Amino acid sequence: MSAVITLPRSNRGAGRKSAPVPAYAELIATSNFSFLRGASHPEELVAAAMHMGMSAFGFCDRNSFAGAVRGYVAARDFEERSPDFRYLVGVRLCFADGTPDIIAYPGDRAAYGRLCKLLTLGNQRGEKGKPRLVFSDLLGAGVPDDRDDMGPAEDFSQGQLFILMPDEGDWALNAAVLARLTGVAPDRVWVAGVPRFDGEDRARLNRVDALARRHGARMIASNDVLYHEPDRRIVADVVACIREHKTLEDAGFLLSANAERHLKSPKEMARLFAEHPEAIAETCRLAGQIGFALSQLEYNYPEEVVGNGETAQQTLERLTWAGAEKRFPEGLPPGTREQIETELRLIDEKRYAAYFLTVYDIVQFARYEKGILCQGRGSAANSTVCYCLEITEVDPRKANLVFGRFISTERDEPPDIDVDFEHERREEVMQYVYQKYGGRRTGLTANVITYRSKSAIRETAKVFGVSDDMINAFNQLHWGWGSGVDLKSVAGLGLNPDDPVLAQMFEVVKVLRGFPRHLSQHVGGFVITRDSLESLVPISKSAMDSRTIIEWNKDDIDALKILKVDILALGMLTCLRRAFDLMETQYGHKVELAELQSEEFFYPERAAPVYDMTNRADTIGVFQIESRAQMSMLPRLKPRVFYDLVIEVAIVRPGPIQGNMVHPYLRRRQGIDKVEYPSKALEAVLHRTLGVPLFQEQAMQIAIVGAGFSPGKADQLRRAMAAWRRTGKIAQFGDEFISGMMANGYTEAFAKQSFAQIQGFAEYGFPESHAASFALLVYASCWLKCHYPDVFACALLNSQPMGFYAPSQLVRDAAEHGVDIRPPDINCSNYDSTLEDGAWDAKAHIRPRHAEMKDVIWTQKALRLGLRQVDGLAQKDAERIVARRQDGYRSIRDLWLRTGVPVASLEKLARADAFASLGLNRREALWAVKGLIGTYGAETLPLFAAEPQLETPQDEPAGLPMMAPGEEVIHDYSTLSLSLKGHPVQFLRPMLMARGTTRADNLVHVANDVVVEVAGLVLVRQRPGTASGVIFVTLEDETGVANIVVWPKLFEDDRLRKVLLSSRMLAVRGKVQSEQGVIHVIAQDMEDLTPQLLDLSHGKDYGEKIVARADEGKSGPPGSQSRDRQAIREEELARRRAYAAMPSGRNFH
Amino acid sequence: MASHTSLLDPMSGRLLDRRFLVLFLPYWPTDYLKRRDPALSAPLALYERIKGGLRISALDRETGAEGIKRGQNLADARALVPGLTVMEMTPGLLETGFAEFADWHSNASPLVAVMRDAAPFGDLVLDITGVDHLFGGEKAMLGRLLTRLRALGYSVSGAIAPTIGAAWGFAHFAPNQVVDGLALADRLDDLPVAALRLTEKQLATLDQMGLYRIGDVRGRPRKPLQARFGASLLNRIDQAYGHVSERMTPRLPPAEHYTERRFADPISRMEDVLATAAELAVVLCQRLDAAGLGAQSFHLFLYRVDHRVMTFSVNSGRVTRDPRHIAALFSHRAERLAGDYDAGFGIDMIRLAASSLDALLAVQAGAFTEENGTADIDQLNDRMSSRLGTMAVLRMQLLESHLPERAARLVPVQAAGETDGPELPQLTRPLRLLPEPERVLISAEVPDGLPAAMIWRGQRYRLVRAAGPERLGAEWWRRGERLQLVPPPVPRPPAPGEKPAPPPHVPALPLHDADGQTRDYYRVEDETGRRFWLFRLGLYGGPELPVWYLHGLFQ
Repeated sequence: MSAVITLPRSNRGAGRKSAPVPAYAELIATSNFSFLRGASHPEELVAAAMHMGMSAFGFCDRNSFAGAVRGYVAARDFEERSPDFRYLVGVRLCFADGTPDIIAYPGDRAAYGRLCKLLTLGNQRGEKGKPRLVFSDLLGAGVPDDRDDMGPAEDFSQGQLFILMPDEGDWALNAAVLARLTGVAPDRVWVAGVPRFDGEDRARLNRVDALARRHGARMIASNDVLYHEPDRRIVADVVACIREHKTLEDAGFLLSANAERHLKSPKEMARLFAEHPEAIAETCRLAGQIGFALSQLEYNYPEEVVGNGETAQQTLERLTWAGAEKRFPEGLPPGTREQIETELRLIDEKRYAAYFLTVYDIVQFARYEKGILCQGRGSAANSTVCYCLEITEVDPRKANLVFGRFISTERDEPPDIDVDFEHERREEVMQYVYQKYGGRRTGLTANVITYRSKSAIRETAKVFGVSDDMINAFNQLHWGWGSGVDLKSVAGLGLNPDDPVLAQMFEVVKVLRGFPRHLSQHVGGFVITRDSLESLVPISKSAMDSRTIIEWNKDDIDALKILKVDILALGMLTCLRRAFDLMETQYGHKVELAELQSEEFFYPERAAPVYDMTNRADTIGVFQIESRAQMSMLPRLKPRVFYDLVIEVAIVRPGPIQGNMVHPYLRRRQGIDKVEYPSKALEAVLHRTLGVPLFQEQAMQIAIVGAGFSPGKADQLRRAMAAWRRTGKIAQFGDEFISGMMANGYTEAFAKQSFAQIQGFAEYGFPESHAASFALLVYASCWLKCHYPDVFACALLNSQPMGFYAPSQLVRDAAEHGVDIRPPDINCSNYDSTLEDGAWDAKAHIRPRHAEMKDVIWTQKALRLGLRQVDGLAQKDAERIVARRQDGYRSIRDLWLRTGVPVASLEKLARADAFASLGLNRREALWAVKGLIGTYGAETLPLFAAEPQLETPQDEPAGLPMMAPGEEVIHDYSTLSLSLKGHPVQFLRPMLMARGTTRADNLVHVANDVVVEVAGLVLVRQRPGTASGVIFVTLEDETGVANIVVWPKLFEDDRLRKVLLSSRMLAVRGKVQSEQGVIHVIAQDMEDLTPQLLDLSHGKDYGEKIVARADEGKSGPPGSQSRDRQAIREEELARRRAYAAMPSGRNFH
Repeated sequence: MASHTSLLDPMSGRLLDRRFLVLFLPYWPTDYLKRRDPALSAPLALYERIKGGLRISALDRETGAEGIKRGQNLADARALVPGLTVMEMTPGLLETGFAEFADWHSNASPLVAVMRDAAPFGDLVLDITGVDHLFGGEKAMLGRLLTRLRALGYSVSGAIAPTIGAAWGFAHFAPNQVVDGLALADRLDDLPVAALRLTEKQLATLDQMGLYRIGDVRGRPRKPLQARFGASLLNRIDQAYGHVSERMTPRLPPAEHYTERRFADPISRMEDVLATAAELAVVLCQRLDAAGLGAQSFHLFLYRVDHRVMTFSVNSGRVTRDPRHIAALFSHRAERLAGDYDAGFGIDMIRLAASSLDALLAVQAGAFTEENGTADIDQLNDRMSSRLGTMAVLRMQLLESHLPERAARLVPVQAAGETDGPELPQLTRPLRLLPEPERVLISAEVPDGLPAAMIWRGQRYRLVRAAGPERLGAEWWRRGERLQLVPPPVPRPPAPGEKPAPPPHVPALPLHDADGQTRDYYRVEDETGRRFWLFRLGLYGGPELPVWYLHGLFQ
C-alpha cells in the first residue's frame, strides 16, 4: 500500500528562478515511520525533494528501515521525471545511553547488512516498538551477555558514513563522541549544522564548524527535517501531544516554536548557510560516497527442498509430472501437457522453482504428516503446476482461470501463493517452518497498522481536549474507511459544524488518517531466505510467541521482489475437516474437496440440487455466500456452474458495488441487456464476465490493453486501488487513462465510464484467483448443507465462532431442514455437539418452504447439542463431566461428588436446563445446586467422599413454582443463546394476530407495494458503507426472517431512530417489495415491542388476555395507584432482567 | 450516638415500639443540581467513568421517562435523547449536598440517617418515634414532609413503618402509606423481594427460582434458604418484620476532630459566637497538637434551637493549628457575612471541626532557626484573602508558551502553590515587555536580514549590533481559524446512474495564514548601547507586507 503523494505547494522563497540552484541534498529527514515524530509520509518527502530539484535525498528514520521501501518506491515511480535524483537509505541511530543521535548511511551492500544486524540487536534487547541501542554497540564493543545468538561482537561501524547530530546542551559530550567516531571512521564523519531559528543560529553554526574542524571532520548542512511542508508543523505538534499524552492546552514547550523543520529548497538552504557554503557542498560529497541502493538487495530462496543432485527446476519438473499422473489417472486431458510445459518454462525463466518447491513442501507436510486440510490460492495458484503439486484443489481448466496472468513476464512481479489451513491447526504448520529454516532465516512480514478514521479521531480529539463521551459520539457517526470525514455530520450531534476547534481537529484528522501507528505481525506471510535474513532487513522478535518479524510489509516485499509464502488460517477449513470426519465416522462416506469438484464437473446432474438450494438463497452457514447481501443476490444470479460461484463470491464486494457493475452484469446475465464488447482486445479480457469488469485483475488489464498503460504504470494504479481512497490519488491516473483509451479508438464516454468503474475498485476489488479458491469451499459447504444438514450444523457449531450467524440461527435452520435437535444434557452431551442415532424421519419434518429438498436430504442422525453451548461453562469442567460419566449421573449431588466441578459451573448447567435426564427442571436443578455447599458443610466435599458410589446421594425436593413456556424460552436464550422449546415470538402471536401482523413466511404471498406489518427479534442492524446511509435490518419470527430496509430519511426521525437502535423486538410497517424472490419491507413506521416480549420472562401469558384487554379500549387498568406503580416497577425489573437475556442484535457499520 | 434499644412489645414479643419514616428520592442528584443552578433544564443526566467507559450514574425524571437507565453508556443515551444535558458526576459535591440535605431534616426528627443500601444518594431514614404529634400525627407528618420536598422540586416518596427495613420497602415499592405493627406482616408479604434490600445476585437467584414476593420466601424453611442465599437474606427478612432490631447511625456529628459547647440559654449575638469560636479553637488546636496534626479547613456549626444547622468554613493557605490565626480567619469571615447570619430563636450548641488534615510536627521557633518571614507572608496572604476575597490577592505564575505575552498569568495567591512554573528554555529576553507592541519602521535586508536602523516614536536609531531571528509561529490552535492541511478533494466523477456526492462542508472561518502570523524576534543595540527587542510580524512572500514592532527593552 502506498500513500498518496501530493506535490508541495509553492514554497516560500522558492519562487524566483534567476540564480542557478546550488547542488544540495537533504540527508536528515524523518518520516512518519518514526512513529509520532515525523509528520509526512515517506512518499511526500521524496516527491517534495524531487520537486525542489535536490540532487539526492537521504531518508533516515529512528532506529528503523520500516518506511525506507515506501520512499524507494516513490522515487522509482518518478524516475522518468528526475532521472539523476538519488534516493539514499540511512538510519538515525538513537541511543539509550544519552549519546547524541548519529545518522548512519551504509556505503555499500555489506555495510547495509551490518546496519540491519545492529538494528536487529537493538530490537531484541528493547521492548516491542522500543529498540534499545547504546553507543558501544555501534563500535562493536557490546557486552557479550547481551548478544545471545548474535554471534561474536561485530564492528557495525565498518563501511558506514556518519553524521553526528550534536547535543545542544552538552558540547563536551559531542566532542567525546566525535573523537571516538573519527577514531574508527576517519574521513567518514560529518557533524550536522542545523539552523533552529532561535536567535542563536549564527553562533551555533560557527560552533559546530569549529567542533568539526578540531576533529578533522566537516560540518554538513541539514534542516533536520520532520515534514515536507510548513503546514505539517501542525500535525507534528499534534502527534507530539499524542506521543506524550498531552492536550494542546497543557503541552507547553512540547509544541514547536515555529514551522521551520520542513524540507527546504537548495536555494533556501544555500541562503541560510551563506557563511558556510562548504557545508552545502559537503551534502553532495557525502551522497557521492554512498554506493548502496535498495535495488541491490538480492533475494535468494532456500534450497532445502531440492532433491539430491538435482537443480530446483529438475526437482520441480519431476514432482509436477508425477503429480499430474496422480491428478489425471485416465491420462492427461488434451492441452494439459502443453499447459504444464509452458508453465514450467516460465518458472524456469524467472527462477521461481525453489519458491514453488517450498510451498509444495509445506503443503505436503500439512496434508500428509499432520492431516491438516489446506488449500492454496493467489495468482500463482491458478497454475496447473500448483494443481499437480496438490497446492491447490481447483482444476484451472474448470474454473476458467487463465494461467498467463499468474506471473506476467514483463511486469516482473513475484508470484503469489497463499495457503489456507484449518484455523485451529495453522500453528503446527508455522512451527514446522521455523523448525525447518530456523529463526535467523525465517521472518513474518510486518503489518503496518495505520490510523483509521476512528483511531485518528479518537487520538486527535484527545489532544484537542474534547471530552471522552464526545469522542465516542463522533465515532458512532459511522465514519467508515472510504467515506471522508465531513463536518456536516457533527450537526447531528447537536454541535456547531463551524466551531473552530472541531474544524481544526477534523482537518488534522484528515492528515492523520493513513499515518502508520505501529508495526504488528502479518497474519501469516513468511519470508524465508537461503542465508541470513537479518542482513537483509532488521528483525524483531514478538515477546508472546517468539516469532521473528521483519520490518517490511507485503507491499514493501513485493516492491523489492522478495518472495513470501502466506500461511493463513481459515475457519471454514476447520469446519469442513470436522464435517468430513463426521461423514466418515457416522455415514462411512469419505469426502474430499477435489472429489467434490470432479463430481460437480463430470456429473452436473448430481450438482443440480446443490445449485437449486443456492438459487433459493437457502445458504445460512455456508462459506462466503451467506450474508444478507449475498443471499439477496443469489436468486438473481442463479448460479448453475462452478464459475458462477466464483463470480458470486467476487460480485458482492464494495468494489463492484461502488463501481456500479452489479446491475449491468445481472441484466446481461438475465438477457435483458445484450452482451457486447467495446473491442476485440477487451473481449478477451472481459468475456468471462459478460463484458463487465468484476475482478481486480480485469481492471488492470483494461488499463494495459485498453488505455495502453505500461505494466509499471498499471502497477502503480493497482497500488493506488489497493490503498484506501485518499485525496485524488486515483484521479491522477484519470486523465492519462482516458486519453490513452481514446487514443486506442474508444469513445470518451466509454473511457470515462471504464475509469469510474475502476475507481470503484478503490474500495476493495476482489482478485479472481482468490475467488476461485473460495468458490470451491463455497461449493463444498453447500454440498454438505444440501445433503447432510445434520453433519453440516454439527461441524459449524463446533467451529464457532465463525461466519455470519449465531448458533440459534444455525440450529433453527438445521431443524427446518428436518434435523432432530436435542438439548444439551449432562448425561448425553459431549463438550462438542455430536450426532446420535435414533433420529426421526427427516423428510417428515422438513418445513414446507424447503419441501423441494425432500429427496436430496440424506440425514439419518440426530444432532445432540454439546455442553459448549452452555454460556460461560469452562471447557475443562465440561470435559471432566464427560470423562467421569460412565453409565450416567443419578443426581446433581452424585455429579458434584464424582467430578468436583465447581458449583458455579453446575449453576450454569442448571440455568441452561441441562439436567433434564435427572428429571429436574431448571428451577429444581438450580435449587439443588445452590444447596450443595451450604447445607451440609465441608464434610461432603469431594475430598472426603472417598466412596461416593456406596449410596447415591439424592437431591432434596424443592417445590418451586413452574415456569411458563414463554419464560422457559427466554431463559434458554439467556443461557444457550437458542431454544429448542420454541421461539419467543410465537408466544406473542395472539397479540400480533390481533394487530394484524404478517408472519415472515407469509410475505411471499403479499403483492408488491402492499403495506404490511412484520414483527420479530432484531437479528442484525447493518449500515454498510456502500449503501449511503441505508440501514438493513433483519427480523426473525417463529416462521422465518423478514428483511427490512430503512431509508436514511426515516432514521433522522428521533423517535424512530431510538426505536430502531434500542429494540430487541421490533414491529415494522412498510411496503413490500419483491424482486425475483428477494423480499424487502421498506419501513415507514416502527414500534418497539421489546416490553411485550420481555413480559414473557415473568411468566405472563400473552394469550387471549392481552387481546381482550386491547379490545377493551380506553378504560384504565383496575387497582389503586400505588398498586399500579408497584406493577410498573415489577415489570421494569423483569424487563431489565430479561433485556440482558435477549440478543441485542448485531450491529454492523 | 448509638441507636436506642427497644423494648419488647408485650403482646407480640416483637420490637415494634419504634416508628421509622423513610424518604426515597430517586432523582435526588439531578433535582439537587437543578435547584442549585436553575439554568439546568431537563432532560439532565450525570455520568461517571466506570471501567474506562462513561456511564450514566444519575438521571432526572424526564430522562428516565425516555427509557434511559443508570449504568447505560453515555453516548447511547445522548443518541436516544436529543437535547440531553450531561454533566460529570461530582461525588464530593453531591456527598456534601446530601449530607446537608439530611441534616436539614433534623427539624423533623433529631435522628436522621442516610441509607446507602441501594444508592449513595436518595434514601433517608428518620426515627420519628414520639415526634409525630408535633405534626398532628404520622399521616400528616408524612404528608408535610413530602409536600415540602416536592415544593422544592424534589421527586420523593415515603412511608412510615415500625421497622427501618419495612419502611424502606414500602417507600420504594408501595409508597405513601403508614403501616402499623398489626398490618405489617400482611402488607410486607405482598411486596416484591427487591423490597428487602438484597444484593443483585440474591435477587437474580430468587427470580430464577420463581420466588417473586417476600411472602413466597418468608414461609419457606429457613435452613435451605440460608444455604442458598446466605444469612443476610434471613437477616433482612427479620429486620423488616421486626424480629431483630436494626441499628441506624445518625448523621451528626460528622468530623473526626471537633470540639463543641452547649449553652443552657441559647445565644444569638455574633460576638458571642466568635468568642466561643476562639475558645473552641484553643481546645481544638491542643488536640491537633497532641495528634501531631494541622488542618487547612475549619468549620463552625451553629445548631439552632429550631433544628437547623448553620455552617461557616474558612481555609488557611497552609496547614495550621494556630488558634489565634483560626480565630482571626473566622472574624474576617464574619465581616463578609452581612445578611447571611440568622440565629433564629437562638443557638444552643456550637461545634468547631477541622478537616483537610495533614501531619504538622512541632517545631522549635527562634533560637537557631532562620526566620525568613515566609510564614508571616503566608499568614498575611491568608488574612488578606479572607478579608478581601481570594480573587483579590494575586501573584504571577510562569506558563509554558513560546509567545512572550502569554508566558505568565495572574493566579490567586492561595492557589498558586509552591512550584514556580516551568523551566524556561535558554533564551535571551527582556524582563519587562511594553504594554502593547509598538509599531516601528525598520530597514533590514529581505527576507530575514538583521535590522540596521529603526524609527520609534518619531525618533531614529542607528542599530550597530543585532542578533536573530528567533522565529515564533502562531499558536495555531488558539486562533479559531480554519486550517487547510489537505487540499480539497477532487470529486470523483459519478459512475453512471449515481448521484454526484454533495460538496463537503467548509466552516465559515477565516483561513489560517501561518506565514502572516509568524514573528521574527531580533535583539538589537544602537550606538549608545541601548538594547531593544524587536519583531517582524509576517514573512516575506505572502500577500501582505510584514510589519515591524518593538516589544521590549533590555535594561
